[in-house]
Amino acid sequence: MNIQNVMRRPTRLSAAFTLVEMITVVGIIALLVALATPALVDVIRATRLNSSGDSLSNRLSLAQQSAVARSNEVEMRFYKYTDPTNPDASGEPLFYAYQVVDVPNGADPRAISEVYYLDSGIVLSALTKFSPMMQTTTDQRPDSTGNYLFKPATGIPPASVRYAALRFYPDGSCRLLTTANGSGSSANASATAYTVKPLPESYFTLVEARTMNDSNTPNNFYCLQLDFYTGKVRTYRP
Amino acid sequence: MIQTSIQSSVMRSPFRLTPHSKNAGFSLVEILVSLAVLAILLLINVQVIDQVQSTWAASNARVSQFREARTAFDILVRNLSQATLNTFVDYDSNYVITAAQNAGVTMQTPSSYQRKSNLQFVCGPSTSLLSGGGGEALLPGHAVFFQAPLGVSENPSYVGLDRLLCSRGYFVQFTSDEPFKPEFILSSGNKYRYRLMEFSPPTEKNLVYSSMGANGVATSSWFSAAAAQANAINVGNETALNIGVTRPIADNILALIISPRQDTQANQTVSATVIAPRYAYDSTVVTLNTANSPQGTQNLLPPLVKIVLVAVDERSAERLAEQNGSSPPFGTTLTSSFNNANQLESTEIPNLIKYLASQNVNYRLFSATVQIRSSKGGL
Repeated sequence: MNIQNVMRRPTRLSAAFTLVEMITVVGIIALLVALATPALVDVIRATRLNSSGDSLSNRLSLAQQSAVARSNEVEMRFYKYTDPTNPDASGEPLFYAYQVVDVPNGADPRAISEVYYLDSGIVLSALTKFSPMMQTTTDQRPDSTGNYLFKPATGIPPASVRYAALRFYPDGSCRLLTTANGSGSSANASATAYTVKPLPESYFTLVEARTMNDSNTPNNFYCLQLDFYTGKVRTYRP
Repeated sequence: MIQTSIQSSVMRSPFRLTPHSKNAGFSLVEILVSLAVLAILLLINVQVIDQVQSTWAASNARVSQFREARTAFDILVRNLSQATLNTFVDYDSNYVITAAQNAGVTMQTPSSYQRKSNLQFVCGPSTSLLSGGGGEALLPGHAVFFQAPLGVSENPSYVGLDRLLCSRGYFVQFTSDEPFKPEFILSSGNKYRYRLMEFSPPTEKNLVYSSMGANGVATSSWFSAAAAQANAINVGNETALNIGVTRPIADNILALIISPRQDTQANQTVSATVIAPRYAYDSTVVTLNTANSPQGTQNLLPPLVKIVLVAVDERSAERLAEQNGSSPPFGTTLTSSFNNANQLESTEIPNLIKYLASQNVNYRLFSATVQIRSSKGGL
């Protein structure tokens, strides 16, 4: 009897939202969400760009320090390849990943870090205007045991990967690969392939994928400038 | 009918939540009160969030700013400790010259053996060492120039020759960042800041040899253009072959103070600052010469060098730049407050701290006494 009473009570009351009220409220909420989304998406993109840039700049400093600590030449490689699954790329090769590699004299290079992938939607601009440091790339070659240091996702042959390389020296300075090596190049030729770039040309820029082919300065970018003498990174943001 | 309806609504207590009537709802007063409470809570919230945010930003700025200053200070200390003069002992220069000129004519007796060097260690007020970098206001504090085996070369085939002799120098200059920032952001407005500049020509461009006079002594021409070069690096102006040799290694460094010191543990009869009482020291000049030591400190490295670096954080620097634009915010104060090495710790630094505090600037001092490894002891 009691239970029945309780159960029945709401049905007796006329206090409830009508369909029109509900539709209005839902409509207002939808409108607010629609207004807020573009702003929110921009914020998320900006955060992604900043965090990608911050980690890249930290890892550059780390690579420089490991060259000093190991008293050995250490290279940061920026891998460029075609990812057919990337809708933004439209079949173009892009810089998707980077890795720190120990390059001992006369021995096979060894990876000393994992492969770091840039966040999706963030690319390293390949335009000369934004990344004069990323203009020379060389083919990835197998080492003496036939292995490739960097193997991209399945479906992309490792031999098709090219990379730009920034080499740090034990004295803290660094040089950029500016001559792509042939397969049989001598040790001397590979050593002289790395050169110092003038300060106003030693930078590269992370941009959002949707603005990567636009030669106008994008609204949002993360530019890293490297002093080849001290190996220090300086960043510029809008 | 109307009467009863009003009566019934009046009689009902507002807090009775028996919702069988359509009129049940909050009264205007209730809503106003709740709104007011909400507004107060929100206001408090906003204030707290604002405070947290500004504290976070300030501490973040301080940490990242002083990180750059600390790295630069480490580079400076590490490189300065390797300074060298590479001295040798030879007959006095008169003999060398006259013998060359009168080769085969007569016998010449050399008058003395001397400590000699083709290199130079020099420090002192920036404006007295550098030309073309602007006046005292643009070049506050002191500068130091020396030679060290740092092995930085431009020619890639010299990689591996890691002890090549290089010129190095450090000084503070008030500059725009226009000459060295990437071209595509040039339009975004220039940042005028006090910067610690490093004069670091590659080993191929070590001008100390071409600056030497006939007597084999270096002259100031190998470093005097360092500050002017900072302005000369420019987009398109600098090429791989004509690389700018002065570059900023840290922003927001107000002053660099360099004080060469005598090692008082080794020689207790002299005061520490006797070799550079006015901060100026030049290894090519004969000073403090006595009968026992006719060359004094000529071609000697100072055994110790005290370095003080004054850094401010980016927020303070931004505020100063807003107020002063492209003119140096501290004018000539920074230069004029350092001219007596004996009073560096007792008067000059406390005065500077007082001055910076009065300007409401968030600063930090970095200080170290560097032992120069290849110094053979002072006087």
